[in-house]
Parts: sequence; structure tokens; C-alpha cells
Amino acid sequence: MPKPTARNGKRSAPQPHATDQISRRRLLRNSIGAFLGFGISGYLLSDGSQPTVHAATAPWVDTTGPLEGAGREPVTLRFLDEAGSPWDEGHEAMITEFQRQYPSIKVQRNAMPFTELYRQIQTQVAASEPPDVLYIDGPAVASFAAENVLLPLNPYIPADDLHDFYPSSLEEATWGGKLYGLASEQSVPLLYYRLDAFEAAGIKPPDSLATAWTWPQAFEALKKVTKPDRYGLDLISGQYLLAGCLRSAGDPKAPKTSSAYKAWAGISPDGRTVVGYQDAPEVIRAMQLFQDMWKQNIMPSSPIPDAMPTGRAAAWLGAEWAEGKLVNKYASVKWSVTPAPYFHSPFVHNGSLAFTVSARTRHAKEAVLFARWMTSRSGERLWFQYNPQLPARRSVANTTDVYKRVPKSLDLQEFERESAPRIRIPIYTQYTALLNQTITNVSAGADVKTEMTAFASKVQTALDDFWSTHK
Amino acid sequence: MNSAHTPESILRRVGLALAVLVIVLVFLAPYEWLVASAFKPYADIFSGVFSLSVWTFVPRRPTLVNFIAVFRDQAFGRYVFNSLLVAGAQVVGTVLVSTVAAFVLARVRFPGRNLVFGLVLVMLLIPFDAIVIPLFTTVRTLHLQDTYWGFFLPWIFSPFGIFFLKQVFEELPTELDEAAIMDGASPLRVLTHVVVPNVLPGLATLALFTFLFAWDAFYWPLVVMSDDTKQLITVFIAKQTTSQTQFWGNLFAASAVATIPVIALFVWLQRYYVRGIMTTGLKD
Amino acid sequence: MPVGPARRKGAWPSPSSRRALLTAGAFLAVPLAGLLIFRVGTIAQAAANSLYQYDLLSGQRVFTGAGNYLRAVHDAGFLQSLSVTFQYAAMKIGVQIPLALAIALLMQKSWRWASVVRTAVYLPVVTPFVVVATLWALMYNPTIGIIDALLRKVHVAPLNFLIDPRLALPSLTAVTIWKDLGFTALIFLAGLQGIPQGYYEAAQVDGAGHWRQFWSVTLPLLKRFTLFSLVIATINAFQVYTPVYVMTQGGPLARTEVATYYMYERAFLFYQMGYASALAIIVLLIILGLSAVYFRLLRPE
Repeated sequence: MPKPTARNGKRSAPQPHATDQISRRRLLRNSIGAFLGFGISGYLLSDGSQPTVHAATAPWVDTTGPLEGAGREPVTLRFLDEAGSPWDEGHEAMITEFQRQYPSIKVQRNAMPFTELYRQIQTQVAASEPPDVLYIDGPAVASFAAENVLLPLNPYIPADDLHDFYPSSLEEATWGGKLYGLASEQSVPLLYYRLDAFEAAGIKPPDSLATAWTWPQAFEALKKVTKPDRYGLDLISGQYLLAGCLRSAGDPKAPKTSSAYKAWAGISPDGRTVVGYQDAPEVIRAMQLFQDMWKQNIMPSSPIPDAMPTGRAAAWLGAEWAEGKLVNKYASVKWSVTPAPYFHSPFVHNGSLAFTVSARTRHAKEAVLFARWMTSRSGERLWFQYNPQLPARRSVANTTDVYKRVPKSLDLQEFERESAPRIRIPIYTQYTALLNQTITNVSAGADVKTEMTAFASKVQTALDDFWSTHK
Repeated sequence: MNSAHTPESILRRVGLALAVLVIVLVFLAPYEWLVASAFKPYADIFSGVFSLSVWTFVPRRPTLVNFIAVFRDQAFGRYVFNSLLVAGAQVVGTVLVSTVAAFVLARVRFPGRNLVFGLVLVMLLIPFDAIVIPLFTTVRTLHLQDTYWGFFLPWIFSPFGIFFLKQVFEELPTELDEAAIMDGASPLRVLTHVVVPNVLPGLATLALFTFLFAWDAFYWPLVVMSDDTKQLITVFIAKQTTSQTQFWGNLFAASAVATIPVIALFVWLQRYYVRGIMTTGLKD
Repeated sequence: MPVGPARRKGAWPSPSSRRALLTAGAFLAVPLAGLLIFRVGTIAQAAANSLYQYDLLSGQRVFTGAGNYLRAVHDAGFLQSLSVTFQYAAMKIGVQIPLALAIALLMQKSWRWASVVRTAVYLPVVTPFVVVATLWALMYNPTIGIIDALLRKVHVAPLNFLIDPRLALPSLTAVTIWKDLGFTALIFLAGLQGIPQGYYEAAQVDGAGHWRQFWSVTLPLLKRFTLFSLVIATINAFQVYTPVYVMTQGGPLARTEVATYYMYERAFLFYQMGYASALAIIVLLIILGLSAVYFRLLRPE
């Protein structure tokens, strides 16, 4: 039996087979080399060229009056923005131009992935390092305004400039009678459908608002194009669109005490009651139709990436960026659009992200200047080059022809005639989280009435909690 | 005695071969799908998944567009560099700190030893969400936010590392230490010349784990770093999912590239996993 | 001759405890300083937060003493999340530890296909979770996913893995087991490397077959690593967060809402950081208790 011996405490060095060693080393060296090659060349090539910006002859924002003196002293603005395309390229280019026009104002852009935006805002605020300018989702503006996180902007903006914005954009960012945000674009959903699927079933969806489908009609059509290996409809970003569909079961013209009106309104005018609104009978019936769609496999209950362009679903309910994806990434797919279906009243949600200013900023003038500059006429024209969605300013929307032609003409019509902002509720993050859970539960087969009633009462509890601690 | 052809041993071989096949399929196939998708044009990525075919795992129209997009248009190379730097520093720091602390906890019998170890363990137990804001405040007080240090400095004092190495050190018999001490070695010398050379698999494992933790770190880098030029790969991958859409091509290309350093490190550390002859001076 | 541990593990007999203390102090100075600054201080702050009602955004802090803790005890949602977490931990540990040990045995260098197994098992560990989640969500899809396609071939009704309340948690657990298996196996491998070949040879001479060698040589000597793996796996299981966040967000019907996810919701969605901190402390105490049990049961002599 061989006797292991100690040789001054050192273990004998491992001796792997010579060939193993050589081939492993070579593999290692090659992969490291390739990797470094990628990294270094990427680093060197990564300075993308900026698109040319035609400097306007007049300043983009009038800095007389309330903004007088902005930009005289060197100031650094912290700007919390969404990360990814097109904000990375677009906002960076715009910031470069802004800093060219206002050399003493430096903008430090902190790009944050969307799902982390709200958590990071809270973390930074709680650690006393809040950003000066925040780019947040429309409905969240009300929430943050209610928590006194944001600065009211009315004193800084002349009325005639405000009127250039679509009323919905202003309404979405208003809380307690004050304006807290400036929107750069708008967004409404359309139903994008595959021509091959619908033609094979002999269905021609309506192409104008006047003849738009109701949801029961859409249900029948979608059922016909559903196959064992293909869904009928993919609702991208679930709750964001679904809530608007549910509201269309109500009637904005009904008397304000009727359940039909409440179903449409979603929340009482004083912002304190949701019971009777979020769980109105009309809403429950509408949700039942969606549950039937899940049960009959017309809609997938778990997300499928790019379901419609890859042929896994016959139709998509999505906003203008869905069109962008079809055009840019799936050019071979033949598709068309039909207006978003409705239950009782033609209605869709609108709204998008907005520039807001922190209430605790130490550079209010510069921060407001930046927010106004990014959403000025020239600013939004520039932004449209990066993000082709309906601008929030009427004058800018009128400078482009694309909204006179299908499909974007349908976007504009829907927006102007039948859209309204999402409900403004001071506990928006809680509301969204609870809504998402409710939708998941309903898609899993839970009883709709029980779920919606429980949902409304949970939101009500959170709302009551809020109002009891905030006057 | 040649036992190679008994029914029992054949059954064993077949069983093992089957086990290997299953393992390779279950664990390897998804990774292969990731790599293949990185080389597919965007439209092919998901069209090839549902109807499972060879084209799920092999790109029908291989292309480098995704890689070009991330490296040239989105400066991915910078993120790779940052992640390598931070992860490397975290590995070095963690191994050094943990080795020193674990050595004392494992070898030196000092009063309060168990209490210290217990406290170290407790620190491992708190969920991150509860401490993120106090930690951020601490880091800001030290002016480490927006610096590379802020990424890794709080984490090199790792209860996990100390715990793990303590177990590893305790596995090592003390005879060699005692021999060295009788020869007049100081504790430090015992550590560096006796203990460390004999626990290389343990150190390699800790290095690998620490690299993995650092490499996968997402939430803390978001909190501590607001300068995008210093940000890490995980954040790059996360921003391929926006409020509007997902850039799958970029996501897969970046993810595939992100796996290269961890795999390379794993391959390189294989040499420490050779089960060699353990020289211990034991007599039979 | 004895087969088995014939060596004394543990500390040297130091000449004096004062000298031992000095040595300990010198070595521990930097690590302890770091731990104090970055860990102890922050945990203390979290514990302090748990005594308040704390709204992050408005910065309002209202002292409530033990109020948060009392509330937690009666909070059905929290208790449910604890139950979910326990179920998850039990499933994960019960499957992952034995499986990892089995795979670690296959991974030892002395066997021909060891490096293939080692690499294959390690790959999920290095794959970013967002990719893992996407892929598994596709595989789990009842209409187009591969698992249900196979089930249909053998005439079994398709299962809705992530949406069916009975299946959601096990399905999620399967994904995390798949991903973390290589990690645990590596720990066991490090432990297996430390077992001297001589013991196996001695056992073979005594006539022990492979199984007996495993039971009487491998397992006892792996006790320390098994303890470590159990403690770490338990801690990780109780702190699981990313998989839930990415794949199920706590649904359906809160069946995958683990304690840390519930905490996250309270802290950042419901603006109740104080309450969330109290929940964190409670979870910490639970894991501490479990770890104490492990140490008692598996104390290596």
C-alpha cells in the first residue's frame, strides 16, 4: 500500500495530462483573445456619431419672466431618465444640443431600466439625493404629486404655450388643480392583425372608427382565427391596455350617480372612492368576456414574445411602437389595423411619459428650463426623429404628414375623438400591482365577480390609508 | 480481478451513459439555444422556438448583426470592461479578506470565537431590500457613489466567503500546521505556506462564486452608479426591455457574450479540481 | 487500521489565550471593520426602521414601537407568504441537495465524462436569469410549449404550469433548481476533493463495494460541506426574489408570493418601508433559528 508522505507540508502540484493542458490552454487563450478583441474594438468603435441638429434661430424656450436668470450660474442637473432605445440615443442627442445652447448648465443623465424606475426614485429620495428632473409615466405623476415629490409647473409656463399641448396631456399631469408634468408624446392602442390569418377565415375587420368592432364582435372574429397552435389575440403589456378596455363598458355621458358612469370613470371625482367604480357591474361583465377569451385559448395567459409577428397570435393590441416593431423587425409580415374594440362607448386610454421637476431641487429655474426645452416645439420635433409617436403638441403633430395616412391616421382619430388619460389615483403603484395580480388571477380561472370586488376593496383600503395620512 | 464485463458493471455503464445524456440535454440545450439565437436575425429568434426543430439550435441564416448592434451602436464593450474590472476586484478583495478572517476563526482558539462566527453568520441573513437604503447612505457618506469602489467595496467583507473558507480550513488537518509551528513559523507564515497551498480547490471555488455574484449583480449597481459610462453588463441587458418593447436580438447577443468570462474562469480553475494525492503524513 | 477520520480538526492549542486574542485581533481587524461599517450598521438601521411607519417618498416617520411586529403576526398576506416560502425552501432543498451530490460524484475528475458533465451543469448557473425566465416561460406555455407538446403526444391533458395555482410554485421551483444545481454541485465537489484517496483504497481492501464506500467514507466526511450547503441553500431559498419578480410577480392567487417579494411590495409599492423592515427582521430570525437547528443536528466532531 503506497504511503502518502509529507514533503514540507506542500501538496504535490497537480499534473493533468499534457495534451489536456495544451488544448485547454489554447481554447482558453482563444476565447480570451476573442473576448478582448470584441471588448477593445467595441470600445473603440462605440463613439456613435450624433445626428445633425438644426439649431433654431430663436431660443427654444423664452427665458424672460419666471425663468429669468436661468443658466447664468454654472449648475449641474441630475436627470433621471428611462434607459434603452430610443431614450439613450434621442435624449443624449437632445442633451448635447441643450448644453450647446446653455453652456453653463450641465445635465447628468442617470438612465434607469423602466421596471426599476420607481424603486430607484424612492431610494434616491430617501437617501436625500433626489434627481432634479424626472421622466416618469403619466399616471405616476399624480401619485408623486400627491406625495409632494414634484414641483408645480404652472408659475413657469405662459398660458399660450400650454394651449399647444393636447388637453389630455395636460389633464394627465394635473393634480389638485396644478400642473406637474410636461409630456413629450402621446399613445393610443390599435388592433394590428395578420392579413393571412384573417383572410383565410374570410374576415375583414373594420377600417374606420365609425364601423369599429365591439368586443363581442371582436370575440367572434378572434375565435374564428384561433387555432390549436395559434392564439387569436395577444394583449401586449396586459394591464396597461386592459383597464382602458374595461372602462369602455361604461358611459361618460350617463348621469354621474349611475353605475354606467362610474364604470367609465374608474374613480370618484374627489379621488377618494373606487368601490362601485372599479367593480361596477358593467366592468365585471366586461372582464368576464376577457376571461372567456383566456379560457377558450383565444388569448395566452402567459406572455409570448412577439406573438403576432411570429405567427403565434393572429392579432396584437398595442400602441404605435408595435407598428414600429412590425415595420423595422418583421418587414415580411403582411398586416393591417383596425380600431381598438369597445364594449359600450368607444373609448381607449391615452398617455405617455412626462418630464417633471423635483420639489426638492435646488435649481428650480434650470430644471424647469430643461423640462420645458425638451418638450418645446423644436424639442418635440427633434424627439420625433427618434421616437415616431404622436407628439403631445398639436403644432408639432401638424408638421408631419404621417398622421394623415393609415395606419397613423387611425391613431390620431382615436386619440382625438375617444381617448382619455388613465385614472389619476394617488396610490398608482399599489393600484397597478393589485390590478396585475387580479388580471393574473382572472386569467387563471378565478371567479370574476369575487376577484374584482376584492380588488376594489383592497384598492379602497390603500386609498383610505393614503388619505388618512395625507391631507 | 477484472470486473469489467459482469452484468452488474454493464448495467452501471449504461445507467451512467443515460444519466450523462439526460444531464447534457437538460442543461446544455438551453444554453445552446441562447448562443444560437444570438446569431440569428431578429425575426428568426422566436419563430424557430415553438415548432421545435434543428433550426431552434442552429441559426438558419447566421448573422452578426446583433453583435454589431450591441458593440458598435450601444457601446457594449464599455460595459464588458466595467464588469470585468469590478468583478475582478471583488474576487481579489473577497478572497483576501475571507482567507484572513476564516483562518483565524478556524485555527486560533480565542475567547469569543463562536460568538464572532455567529455574528458573521447573522449578517448573511438580512434580505437586501431592507438594507439597501442604509447601505446607500453609508456609501454616500464615504463618497463612494458613482465610483468603481462603490460597486464592490461593501461586498468584499463577505459572510458567505468567511463561512465557506472556515469550513474548508477546518477540513484540513492541523498536523501540518503544528509541524510548521514547531519549526518556528508565525501564524502568518502558517497561513501562507501551509494552509493556502493545500486548500486551492476551496479558494478556487470561492473565487468562482464571488465572480458569479459580482457578475450577476444588478440592483446594487443601479443604486450606487448613476454614470452610464461606468455601468455594468447586467444593467445593459436590463435596458433591452423598455416600457414599450424588448430588443431580443441585443439581449441574446449581450447575454451570450456575458457568459464567456464566467465560463473561461471556470475552465481555467479546473486545474484546481484535480483530485490529487493528498499528502498528509497519515500512516495506515 | 481505522477507516475514517483519525485526525483532530479545529484549533491549535495556543500558548495563551491572550496571545491568541492578539493574533485574532490582528487578523480580524480589517475584516471586522468592513463588516461593521457595511453590514452591522446597515442591519441596525433596518432594525431601527422597523420601529417606525416610514414612507420613503414623503420622508414621514412615525414611531410605532412594536406596532409593525404585532401587525405582521396578524397579517394574513404575510403569513401566507411565509408558508409559500417554506414550501419553496422544502421543495428546493429536498431536491437540489441530493441531486447536486449525485452530480458532484459524476463530476469528479477520475471519471471519463466528468468534464462534460461539469461544464453542462455549470452553464445554467452562468446564464443570465432573464434569459432563463424567457426560455422556461416558453417551454411552460400550454399551447406552444414543448413540455405540453410532449404531454399531448402521450395523450395527457396539457398543464398550465405558471398559471394553474397548484402548479405555479413547483414549476417556478423547478426553474430555480435547474439554475442553481451546478452551484451546489461545485460546493460538494470541493468537499469531495478533500477526501484522501487513501480512505477509499482502504475501504476497498476491506471488501466494501461502491455503495458501502459512499455511505461509510464519502457521506461522513462530507458532513461539513453538507451542513454548509444546507445552510446556504436555506438562506438562499428564504431570500429568493429575482425568479418571482421576473416570472410570476407573486401570482396566481399569491401562490408564488414569497416573503421577500411581499416585503418588496410593502416597501416600494405600498410605501411602507418601516413595516417591510420589520418583516425582514422576522424573516432573519426565522432563518437564524433554522440555521441553529442545522448546526445542532449536523455538528461535525
